[in-house]
Amino acid sequence: MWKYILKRILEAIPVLLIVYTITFALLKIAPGGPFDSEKQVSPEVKKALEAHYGFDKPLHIQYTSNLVKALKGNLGISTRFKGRTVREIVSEGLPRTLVLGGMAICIALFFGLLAGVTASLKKNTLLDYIPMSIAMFGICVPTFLLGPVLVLIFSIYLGWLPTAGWDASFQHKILPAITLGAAYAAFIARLSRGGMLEVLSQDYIRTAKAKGLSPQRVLFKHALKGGIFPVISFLGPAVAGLLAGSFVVETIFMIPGIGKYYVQSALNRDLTLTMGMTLFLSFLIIGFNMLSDIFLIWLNPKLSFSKESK
Amino acid sequence: MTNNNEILLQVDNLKTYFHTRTGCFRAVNGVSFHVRKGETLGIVGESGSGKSVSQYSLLKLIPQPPGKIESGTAFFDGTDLLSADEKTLRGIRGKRISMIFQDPMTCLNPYLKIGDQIIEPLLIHHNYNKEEARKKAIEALKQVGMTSPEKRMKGYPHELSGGMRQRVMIAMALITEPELLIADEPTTALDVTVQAQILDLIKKLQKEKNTAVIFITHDLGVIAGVADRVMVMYAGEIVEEGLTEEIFYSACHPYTRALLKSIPANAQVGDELFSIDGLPPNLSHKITGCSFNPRCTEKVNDDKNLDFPTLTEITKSHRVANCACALRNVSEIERNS
Amino acid sequence: MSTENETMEEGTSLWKDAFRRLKKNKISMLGFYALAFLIIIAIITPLIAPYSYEAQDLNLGATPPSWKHWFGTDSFGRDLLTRVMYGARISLMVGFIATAVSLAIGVLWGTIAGFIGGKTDTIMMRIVDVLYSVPFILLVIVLMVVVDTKSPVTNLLLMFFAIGAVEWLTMARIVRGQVLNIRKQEFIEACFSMGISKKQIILRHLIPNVLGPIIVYSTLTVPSVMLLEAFLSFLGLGVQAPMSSWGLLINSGVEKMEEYPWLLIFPGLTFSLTLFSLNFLGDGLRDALDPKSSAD
Repeated sequence: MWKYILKRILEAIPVLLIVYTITFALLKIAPGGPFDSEKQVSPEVKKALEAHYGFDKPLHIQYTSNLVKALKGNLGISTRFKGRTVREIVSEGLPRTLVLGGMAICIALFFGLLAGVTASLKKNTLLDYIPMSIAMFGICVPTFLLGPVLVLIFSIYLGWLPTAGWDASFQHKILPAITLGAAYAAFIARLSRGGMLEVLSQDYIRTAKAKGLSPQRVLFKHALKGGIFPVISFLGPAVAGLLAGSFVVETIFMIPGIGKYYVQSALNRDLTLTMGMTLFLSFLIIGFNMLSDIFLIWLNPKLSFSKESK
Repeated sequence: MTNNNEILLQVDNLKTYFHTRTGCFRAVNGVSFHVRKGETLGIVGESGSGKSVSQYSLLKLIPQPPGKIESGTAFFDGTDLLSADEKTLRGIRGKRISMIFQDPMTCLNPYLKIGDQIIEPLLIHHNYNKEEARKKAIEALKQVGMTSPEKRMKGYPHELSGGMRQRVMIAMALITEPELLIADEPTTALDVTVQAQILDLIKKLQKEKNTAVIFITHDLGVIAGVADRVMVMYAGEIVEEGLTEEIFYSACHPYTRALLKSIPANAQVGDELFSIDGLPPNLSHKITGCSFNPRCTEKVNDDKNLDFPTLTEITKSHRVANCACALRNVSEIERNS
Repeated sequence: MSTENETMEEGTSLWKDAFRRLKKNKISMLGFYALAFLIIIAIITPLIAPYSYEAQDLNLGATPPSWKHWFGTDSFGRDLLTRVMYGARISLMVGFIATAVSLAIGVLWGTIAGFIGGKTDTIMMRIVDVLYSVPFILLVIVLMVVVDTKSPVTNLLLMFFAIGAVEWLTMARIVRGQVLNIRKQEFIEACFSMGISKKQIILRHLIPNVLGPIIVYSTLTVPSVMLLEAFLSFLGLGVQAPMSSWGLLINSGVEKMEEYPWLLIFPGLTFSLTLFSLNFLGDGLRDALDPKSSAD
């Protein structure tokens, strides 16, 4: 297994390099520098600022020195938020985003699996059509639409929940988590229904029934393991999506997580922050994909690390 | 070679229809038969003859939304399987009546260890604890000829070949010492050499445990070596039934005779191989009279049989559909004997 | 006696069979008609729009739905219905064109890789794998921010390209998978052994069989592309005012939703309903073209 992990790490390196290079190139060719939008700065001040951030050095030197610094954990200083390092900002926002994401996934898994498995067991009945239609909602109503609508209903009209902000209380967390998790619940519902239907039509389920096993045992011991597979494969790429979703949700609900900071930095042309966060987020996403692939292979007895079939 | 043991399973007028959007398929259209303790009943027929569906119906293993058991009784030790509730049936499946299926490659759960799958019937039906069950499972694997059974228990199905998986299926089916084993084409998906081994294994175990066996196949050659009695099915009905020798040496129904003729071994060297022309009928159309008529090569002057051909007895053990051709053959055989 | 059952079943081609199945699926057909209706409206919008999409009436300001303005007006007095209709043009156009881009690249890539096989296949799919790991969302955001051209057309083109560049990877994988599947099947070997030229094989045998999953996946790509576009618009990237895409309309609607909820509801409803139609249609197509799935 370790050989496989090593292999994946090695494969990830060119990917990260590509991301870094493309981002670097894009940010550098962008018309307009990071200091343009602020109040007019005199050329000398501008020069000093540029020297401070290292923007005056030749490009290839910037490229490599940035990379080296990043490897050491120094992601640079934000050009917008004076004096704060990227690392600071990230470590401040990350836990909040993680909590948000974690809650969203839990909600998604719980409702998604419940809906999908039930639907597969009661195929073509109301218990199939209704959950799946609701699931369609999650797919067709985008996060940035669902969020405001939920806020409209629950905060403004009904007054049950606060509209925005983030603190330790559950109330502040529930609406954003549902908004973020809804689309994923929908996907999970569809995937698990499909996976379960596929498994339930397999011969080995018939064998299980022929052995006189109770429906519960057939479901939980025999069917679920195979049926859940598509859901687990989905979780890896889902993280990338969750991150993107967090951009939206954090913006709507004004949650100071890394999603909001990231979008802000891009819109502000905060070069160092954008660069640093892009690197960090890529690292997160790629790392998570690798973890979930490893998990998948470990789970499926038919796959082995030495053959790493896809 | 029939015995005079008591009757274990008595099926009367079983009808299983499939109601689909394209029509109502009469897969099993009034089938009656019996199986005695310890004997092997072979069921022969083409695909679509109803041989498998009739047996699956007994344990209600057919998909019930399109399928429906329209009528019939199946008495097994005093209980009518067809009208029993799920709970009762579950107590019989895997415990007193076991099944093994055609494709061993897909019949075992790929995500569970072999050991876990084999011990399940014991855990559920006989209330063993895991330790005892494992010991018994290893014993069972040895009995079916598996080498290094302890190792196999911890492995997964994909590590085994088709023949080995079928052995596992057999071990799993017989571990609770059922009174009846239904084997649905257990050797069809295997190599010829492995086929012979599996057949011998089934015969051996059957003798040891005195299990009755219903053996479904389309291969007459296999039937000859394994069955005490044979039932020939066509288009959802039984066309002929009798002791193995009776079927092979004094077959009366044109379909049975055509089947025998098409066994390659029966052909003369240099002759064209015989095959039955035409296709089995569409089971969603109502068939009046003899269902084999369109393909029958023995019919004379288009003799029509407007009655539903019931089975008439030729001898105590030999029955055949009373169509004109069969009856002609019956008289001919009687004349010659 | 039983000559009725002698009539052999007429063989139906895969397409006819699929079409029949699709037609029976009422919800999918509903989606299809809704979509067709929408597309027609979008195309003839300039002819039938009640107002111009930028005509402002500052005295009017935002008004709720009325007989004069079926969807109401926004704070500049612009008729919302008109803006939603023009938004349909943009959003649908992005959806279809970006999907077409990804289709073109993906099908080409996948077919070549799958058909030639061997080393070419390995290299080509390796590239896909590496690119697949790149978190495109991040790059698209950076790209959209960074390239801030004044021309809305270039902006749009860029968006098509960016989105298409993300989606072609999965298309390539699907196509290659199908090609490999088909290639392995015996009837292709039969063709080879009959001496049919490679070009003929590709055109007459390979492509028709690969078409199924491609159609299904494309139908399902359009809505996800539209979501991506709306997402970018929401973030302030992508389509810029005064052009209106649905994403932009929803975004502005959110800002004023407390006072003027209709500004959010109508674009939101239209957008969601369109996605619903596309998804139901795509689902129906998938069920229809996959012989294994049977509701019977």
